[in-house]
Order: sequence, then C-alpha cells, then structure tokens
Amino acid sequence: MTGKKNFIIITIFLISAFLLPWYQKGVQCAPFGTFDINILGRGYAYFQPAPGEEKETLGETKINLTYSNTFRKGLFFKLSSRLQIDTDQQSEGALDSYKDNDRKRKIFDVNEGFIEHRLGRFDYFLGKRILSWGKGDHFNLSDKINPKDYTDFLDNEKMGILLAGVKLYPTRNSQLEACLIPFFTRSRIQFSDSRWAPCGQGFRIEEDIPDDAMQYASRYSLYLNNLDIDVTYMRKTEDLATCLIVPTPMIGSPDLYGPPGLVAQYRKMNLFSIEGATTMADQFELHAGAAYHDIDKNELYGQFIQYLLGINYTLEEKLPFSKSVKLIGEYLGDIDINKPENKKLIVLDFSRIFENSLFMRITSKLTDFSDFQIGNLFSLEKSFNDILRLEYTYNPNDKLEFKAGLDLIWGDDQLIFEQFEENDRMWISIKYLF
Amino acid sequence: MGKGELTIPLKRKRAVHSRRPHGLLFIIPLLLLFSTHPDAAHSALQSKGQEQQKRETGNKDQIDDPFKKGRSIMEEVERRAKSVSEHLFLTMIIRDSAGKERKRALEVWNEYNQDGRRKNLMRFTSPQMVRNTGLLSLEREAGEDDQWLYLPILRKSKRIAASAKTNEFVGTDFTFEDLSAENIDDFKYEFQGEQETGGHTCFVVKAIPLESRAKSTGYSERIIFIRKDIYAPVMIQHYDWDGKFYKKWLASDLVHVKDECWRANREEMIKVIENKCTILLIDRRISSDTLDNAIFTQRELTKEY
Repeated sequence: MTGKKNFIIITIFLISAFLLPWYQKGVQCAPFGTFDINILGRGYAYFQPAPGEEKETLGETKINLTYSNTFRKGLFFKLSSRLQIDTDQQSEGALDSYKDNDRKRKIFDVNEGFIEHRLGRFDYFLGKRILSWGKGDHFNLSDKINPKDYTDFLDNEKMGILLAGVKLYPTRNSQLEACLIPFFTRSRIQFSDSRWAPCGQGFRIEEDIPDDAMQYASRYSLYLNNLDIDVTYMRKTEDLATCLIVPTPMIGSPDLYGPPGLVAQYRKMNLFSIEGATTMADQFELHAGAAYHDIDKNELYGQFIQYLLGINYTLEEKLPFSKSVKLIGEYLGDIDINKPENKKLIVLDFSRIFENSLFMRITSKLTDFSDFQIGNLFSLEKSFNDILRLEYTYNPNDKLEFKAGLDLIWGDDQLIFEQFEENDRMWISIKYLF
Repeated sequence: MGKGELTIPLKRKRAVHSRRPHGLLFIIPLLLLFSTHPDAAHSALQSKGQEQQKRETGNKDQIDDPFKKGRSIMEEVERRAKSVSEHLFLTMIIRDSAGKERKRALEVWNEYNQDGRRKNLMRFTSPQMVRNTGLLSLEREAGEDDQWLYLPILRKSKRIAASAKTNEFVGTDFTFEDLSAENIDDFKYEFQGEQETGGHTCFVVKAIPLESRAKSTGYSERIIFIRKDIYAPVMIQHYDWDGKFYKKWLASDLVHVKDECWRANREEMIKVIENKCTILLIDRRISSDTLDNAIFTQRELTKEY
C-alpha cells in the first residue's frame, strides 16, 4: 500500500514539474529538452565461488535514461532513471519509493527527479536528488547527504534521496546552501545471500533506526584568490550502520544465552566540518579538512574527528608509455575525542572502516583514446588490508567506451576487508551512449 | 608548409630557462578571435580609424629595440582584444592523424575587467560524453589564474593547479593554458620583422616566458604572426621545451566585431608532429560591452542543461 502511495506522489510531482512552466503566462518553454540514453553491460569473473554456491560469474545490464530541460525563467528539471537486471537477482520490483530502504535494487529505479528554480540571487530545489559536497577526490568528510548502494561494494554508487533545499548567493564568490531531508534512507547493503555481505553468512541481524527521521544540512562556500573554503554543518542519521554484538537470551531461561546476534544501529549525529583547497607552487592542488562528529548516544560512541589531507598532481613530461600521468593521493585520519568504554561491543563500524587509510590513484594517458589506471586503498590501522584496482579504458569514439579491470582484495580478520578477500575478480564493461 | 605560412628561417635554440615553459596565447579566446576579411578590414581601416592606425603603426615602426617593439605590438593587440565581451556558440572538430573526426559543441563567455583581467567560462553542450563539462577561468592580479573544472560525473567543481594547465582540455589539442588569459608581463616579446602571410603583411613576434612563468607553461617559445593592418594574431607557432616545432594555431575568417576589434570565426590548433588538429568554428557570436558578472561564478559553472 505504501509503495502505491509513494508511486502516486512521485508521479504527481513529476507531472507537475513538467506542466508547471507551461502555466506561466507569457513564458515560452523549450518544447524538447535533452534526452540521454546509454547502455552499460558488465561481466565479472570471480576467482572463487560465492559462499554457499558454485557461481563464479556475474553479468549485468543497465540502461540509463536521463531527461533534462531548462525552461525560461531559470526553471530546470531533471529526471534520471535506470533499468537494470543481473544474473544474481540483485534487482527486484519495479516501483521506486522515496525512502528506498529495500535491500534489493529496483529493476526500474528512479535515481533523480527534481526541479531547480533560479530567482535572482536565490535558487530552490525540490525532489529526489544527488548532491556532492566536500573537497576530497575519494574520501570526503562532508559528502554524507546521499546514501550509497553497496550491492557491489566496490561500485558504491550514490542513491538519490528526497530533499528540499535553497541556495543563496550573497556575493559572486560565495554561496550558502541548505537542505532538508525529511526521510531517512540507509545505504544499501545486503547482509546475507551476497558475496558482498559484510558480516559473513548466517548472522541474525536486527536494525535500530532512530524514530526522528528529519535531517538537515547546510554549507557555506567561499572562493577566494587561490583558496576555496567550505564550512559545513549537518544533523544527520548515518546511512551506514554500526553493528553491535548482543547476546540472545534463551526463551524460558533468562540466565542462558544462545549464539550472539548483531544489531545494526544507525546513529544520529551532529557533524561540523571545515575544508579547503588551494594550489601551490603552480604544480599541486592541495585539499585538507577536518570534521567533528558528535554522536547522540555518546556513552557508546563518543565524539571523534576525521581529518583529510589530499593532493593532485599531473606530470606532463614525455614518458615512455604515456602522454601524461595524473596522481591523486589522500590520507584519512581519525582521532577519538571521547573514547567510549564499551567500544568492544562494536564489531563493525562501517562509517569508520577507513579511519587510518591511504588512497592513491594513478592515471596514465596512453593515447588520445585510452588510459590505464591504478587505484589503491589501504588501511594503516591493522595489518595488511588493501583494495587494488587496475583498469584499462578505451574510447574509440564519443559513443563507445570499453573497460577491462582487475580487483584484488587482501585483508586480516580485524576489518571488513577480510570478508571480501575471496572476491578477487576480473571484469569487462561496454558502454554505448546514444 | 601550407599556403601562406611562414618561411622565416628562425633559428631554434633550447630555452635558457631552468624549468618548464609555457606559452601564452592569450588567446583562444582572444584567439578565439580577431580579424576580418581582408577586404572588409581594409575598408574599415580606411574609414574613421585609419589615421590613428597609421599613426600608431608609424610610432611602433620607429622603435629600434626589438624587445620594446615586440612588447609595444603585443600591448596593442591586447588593448584591442580586451575591448569587447562575447558570448559564443562554437563547434569543435577534433581530427586525429587518421583523419577521423569527433565533433563537440560548446558555449563560451569571455570578458575583460576594467583593469584588463580576463574572465572566461566555457561549457560543452554535446555530445553526451562531455555534456556540461565546464571550465571557469578568472585571471588574478598577480600570479596564476584561478581555474575550476566542473565534471558532471563528480557533480562538483574542482580547483586545478597551474601544472594541470599544460594538459589537454577534454581530449582536444588545446591545453588549459591555451584557454587561459595571457599576461603579457609574464613573457618577453621580441620583434623579428615583417612577413607576408595569407596575403597580409604581418608582424612577427617571438614570445619567451620569463623565469617566473616558465614552470607553468608547456612552450619554450612561440612565434606570433600579427596582421599589421588590424593587429590581430593570425598564426602562432609553438615550440616545446626540446625546441621542436610542436603546435601551430591558425585564425581565419576574421570579422570586424567593434571599433578596432577583430575576431576569427575559425581557429585551428594543429599538432605538427602528430598530424592532428582541433578546429573551432564560431556558429554564433553575441558581442557586447559587458556581460552579466553572475556568469563567471561557480553557480553558472555547475549549472547543467
């Protein structure tokens, strides 16, 4: 019933968005906007079968459809949807909802559908949307508005969420943005029946979601000579759970306990961050920032600060096999301000998996139409934990894109990496843009 | 060498500067610009501006020091180029060495402040692969420009460093540097004589980056050909840091935009060694004294269509 209701609301909203500009007297509207269609096919070959089955391959097809139009008077509309199927049945159902808390993806998924209206020094927007905040390339301290889809842990695409927001432009080099998120949407993780289930198979998992779903975020951005600054505040429920291990009392015998279960707790918190980006010595782009997290249930979680240091550098020298090489390096650190005493209950804190980690990506432009990329994410917290991706891209023209890659994962038994250690794989993808 | 190209035996020397160089071109935008049909140019000059033109040219001719004369010519080129703001609709053709072409459409806004600093915003409008990719450049009073690149896949703009400016812009043969404003204080200009090019007499000026600029340019020097009658660049030869003739920029189909300002409706950046090029064709040009300042902002850069 709820699904139908959601569908009706979204349909009315979308129809209104289409019709609204036509009712503005004297305003000519673009009769057609921009339609973008692209088809993506991917195939994965894993080196080991998935838990509980012999399957070692996965195929998926995604058809992305995007319509956008800018009407007169600065009214912009965008609708982005996707048809997706795969051989692992990771997608099911055809109707989307604005909360989208289902464990499985939708076969027909509306990821974005919003209007944005520009009025002088003021914009407002409404609908399901993806926002990108923060200065980082891989780690982002304040880019926490949208949840992510971890159906494939290494893909982690952002999910659109329903929000209403405004942007104010007090000066030409500054902007203030604020948005209200009325519903809580968690990141999509399959806790079972998936090779990307983070807790192993067979765990009993209960979810603990705060009753107060309302969230809001604001950001002030300033663009000065050779310096960009973002100051962000948000009151948010983390979209990634912290898993606590809890004993299970046996029925009728309160002193006896069965096998422990897990509670996936989604924590409400205040986040305050400041980030900056600049260029130095005409060679480097540098960005840095710090984010203070104040978790509501601080007797268990306390407060902590995450900080980020990053660099971008492009080498244009003539190299033997490359036209240019681009390097991105980032370090994400984490400091406990108020360390909780009973932290041992936490078996998995998704939001702090990479609390002491390095990310590096080297992109080598081999020819005008191809490049080779090495991405490496490794944790310095424990022993050897590493995710390595090698990727080759070839664009014979503006419509076709071929990719081939290799993902390798190493991990110890203290971190989530260990769960995925058997997920090493090779993959290829073909994308066609109409 | 093609028709009308330069045959001056310019002796190539490796640049004396310790580090990377880079060039100037003010111009793509600037470049993106100037001049006129020869006939139209002449008739225009013969009208109201002719006397002044002759006077100025005469004065420059009287300067003996080749560096002072080179600088003087470039100042005049800059003065004329900065007098008009423009909103352009362009078609970009990227042709590889096998002759295969890729077409892209883009919009460009270009303006100079009252103090002569350039502001530029450009955005691709097709095809899908690059749509909404944008570049905002704001020339600073001193030092490098502020530049931000907007990539729709990231949904945010990123500040880019000067080193990145020697990179090619979204698969074209233009680098970010080519698309940036040229600060004539960053270069030394040497007048090298006059040369008949494309049926017009041109000043030939060699631009060499100063030490402070050398590390953020991809060119050890450039030879700029400027039409003597209208002070519009029509060809620039770029030399890399090995002293090799690397790229050539050509401007043609020059049109009179306003007062003494001429712009090119066709520009070509040719990579000589690789035998590939990028062609810019102006489909529509909206010229005015000034543009809305709100255009050169992050708000406009991150706007999608």
